[in-house]
Amino acid sequence: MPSRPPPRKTVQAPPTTTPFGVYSEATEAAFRDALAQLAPMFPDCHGDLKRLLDEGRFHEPAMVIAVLEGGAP
Amino acid sequence: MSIDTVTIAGIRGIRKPVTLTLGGKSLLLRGDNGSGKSSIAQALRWALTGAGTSASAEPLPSEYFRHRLEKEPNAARVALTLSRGGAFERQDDAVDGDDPGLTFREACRRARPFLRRDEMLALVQDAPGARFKYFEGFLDLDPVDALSTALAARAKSAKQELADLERRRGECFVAARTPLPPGADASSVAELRALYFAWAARLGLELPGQATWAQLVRACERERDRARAPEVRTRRGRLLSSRERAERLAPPDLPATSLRRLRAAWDKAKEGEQRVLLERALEFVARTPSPSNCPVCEQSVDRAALAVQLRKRLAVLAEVKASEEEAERLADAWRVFLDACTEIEREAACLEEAPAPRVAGVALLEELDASARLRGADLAAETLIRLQQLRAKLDAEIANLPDEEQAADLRALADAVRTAGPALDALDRLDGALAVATATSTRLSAADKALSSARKNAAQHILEGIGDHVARYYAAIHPPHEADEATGAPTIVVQRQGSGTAKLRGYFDSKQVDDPQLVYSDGHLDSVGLCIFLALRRARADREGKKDPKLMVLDDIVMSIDLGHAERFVKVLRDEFADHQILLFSHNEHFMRTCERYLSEARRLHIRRWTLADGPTFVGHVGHVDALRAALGASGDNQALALAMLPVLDSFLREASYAFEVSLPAKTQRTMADYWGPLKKRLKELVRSKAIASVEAELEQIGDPVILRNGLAAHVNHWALETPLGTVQCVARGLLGLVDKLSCARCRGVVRFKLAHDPSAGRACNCPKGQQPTPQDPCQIVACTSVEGA
Repeated sequence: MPSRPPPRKTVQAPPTTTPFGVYSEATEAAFRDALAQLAPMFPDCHGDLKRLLDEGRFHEPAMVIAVLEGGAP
Repeated sequence: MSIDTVTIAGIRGIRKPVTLTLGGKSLLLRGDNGSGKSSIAQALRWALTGAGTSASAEPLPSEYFRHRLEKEPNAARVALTLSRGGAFERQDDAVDGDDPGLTFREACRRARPFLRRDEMLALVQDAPGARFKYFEGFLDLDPVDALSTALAARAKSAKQELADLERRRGECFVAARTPLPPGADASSVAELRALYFAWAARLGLELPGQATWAQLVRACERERDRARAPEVRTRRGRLLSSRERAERLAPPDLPATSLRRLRAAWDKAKEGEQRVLLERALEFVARTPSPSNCPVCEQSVDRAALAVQLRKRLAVLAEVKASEEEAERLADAWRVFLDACTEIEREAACLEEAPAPRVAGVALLEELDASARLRGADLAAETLIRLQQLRAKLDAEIANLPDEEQAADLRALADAVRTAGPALDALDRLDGALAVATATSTRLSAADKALSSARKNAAQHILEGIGDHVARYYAAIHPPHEADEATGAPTIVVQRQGSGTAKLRGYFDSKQVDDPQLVYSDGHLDSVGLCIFLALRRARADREGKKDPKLMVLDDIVMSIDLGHAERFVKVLRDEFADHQILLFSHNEHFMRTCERYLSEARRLHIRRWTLADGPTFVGHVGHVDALRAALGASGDNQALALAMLPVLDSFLREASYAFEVSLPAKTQRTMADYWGPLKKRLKELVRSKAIASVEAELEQIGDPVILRNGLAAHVNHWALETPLGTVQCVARGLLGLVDKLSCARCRGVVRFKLAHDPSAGRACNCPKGQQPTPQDPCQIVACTSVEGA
């Protein structure tokens, strides 16, 4: 049998959750990635957004929109 | 947490309530076509997810519900109880249950544990975009999607608000620019205001250096009021009239001779006071005879000479009088001139106070003399200065009044300012709101874009990991070392084109092919779809941990897969998904037997029959060996024993040939002799090598298996009818003994030897990994006792 490309090594990432454990790995990764992209653009609200993410409230659209619009979270 | 019982009614082929008792274990449900297997799977999907397929959230169509088809009042109903407590029930669209039940349902909804053959094929045949979307469904990105949707909606509404504000600003800008004179153009509110201030400056409106718009408005209002006032018109008329009179007014002619006479008259004016004395003295001289003495000093006086002197003096006085008259005349002329000036000033209201009454004649001359000393040039200059001052004052007053032409401009400016003021204020407010709205829209759009990008990144990263699982499972089902295996494990290439794509690529003869459908067989494609589903399931179960329901419902998924590959697939299920409750539905008896061997803990059910009225009827599955054992112990019926022997003989023959690696002739159609001859030879070899205990006695009892098998399989079982009961029982005992000696006591599978040249090195059966027999664990396998003893 001719050789075929070796399968890629599987690396199981440890489950990533917030301190409150509310997000799936993909959701958590997407949120953190989005936050990292937004940080240099809007440094003024980065802290509030990060706090929302750490508190497990980043999925609440009203909170995120309020922060982005400059309102109190 | 797993399913304990399921009760289904009113869905597809199930009309009356049907209850399946699983006890938290996996289920192997076999039934013929149309017996209700898919109805059960679809009912579970409806109850647990509410959707018709894994890839779509669309609910089941009405045709799935019997009571709707037959217009019965009964509702479709699925009730589940869970093994560790908890239950929920779905009745039509209403879902009711306790917390564990509803949590389990929500976990199932997110986990997508259902797979049908068409969905399995769709995983291979779908477009890359649709496949990516299906994959994403396993990633539980609902919170991201919800946030993204909300952000997109808010960004859209923010853009709409921005557009509205810009439209309103444009309207206000036009409203603020329209009052300006034609040709005036501006691009900003500041420029607009500057244009209005420039207009005011052109009209001579006096404003402070950094005048505000309010000051401009007040000044314009004031000037407009002034221009509108009737008294201004009156005053303008009066000033113009006075100016005209002043223009016509000329100072009286004062020639130098007149001035000299005037001065002489002035110098001699005092002498006029001597006139009376001189006249008296002349009268006295005339009346007194000459010569005579002076009546005062008594000296002698020449009266004639005195009279001459007196007359001279009187002549001079006459000249003085004439001069006085001349002076009076000049003074009158000046008085008229000055009175005219005063009158003009009064008429024009240039004088703050009423002018003092002028004295006439010499007194006026004295007054003039006090300032001008009656020098001709000075007086003329004085006169001209006074006249020029009057004219200049009138001119200033006239200039200070808004004239008729400027009044119209001022009115236009005032009206424009009044019109533009609210528009400019609105523009200020709108500019502020626009700045906020622009910032908001920018932020929301950027956040939406970042979230979409991050979503793709996360999905790409995780799906690439899932691709590794797919490759591993495919390699387990289609081992690369198999001589006839030309296909390779598929790879999933996740790209971020558009909403994301997941391209499927395969390997054929070590070469990559872009579309596996072109070179893979149907069975291989089914395997690819199965591996993708299993990989997604495994990845999600690993990620979610206890939050995952660890459930899999597989409905007729091995239709195109041969039994050899299906067996490897079941091994993958056993080895990789031991933590899952697997509900496996199939019509394939042989496949289900394979499943029974590897999933020994699973509950086995068989759908005996299905009727339109009652739906499926279940019977508990009894293993063939157990059935034969029961028949041997309880029955004295030859034919029943023979019928029970037939499946045991068949399954043992197939399993033992595989387990002992019997070399079979390369034929498409093999006879029983083709199996039994090599198998017997192999068994003897194993006995000789003491890998297994002696089975000579059992084989002796069975006799010729080929004849026995043919006799059992005859349409009319003559062998059973013609053979004595004792002989049949003896053959049955021999068969059972053979199976028992060569099979694992736990999984009932025939024990295999991993290395043919060294059988004692390792044994394997169908038990899960870690539970298979070892040399230190002899009690499980009767056949291995001698091996352990050796």
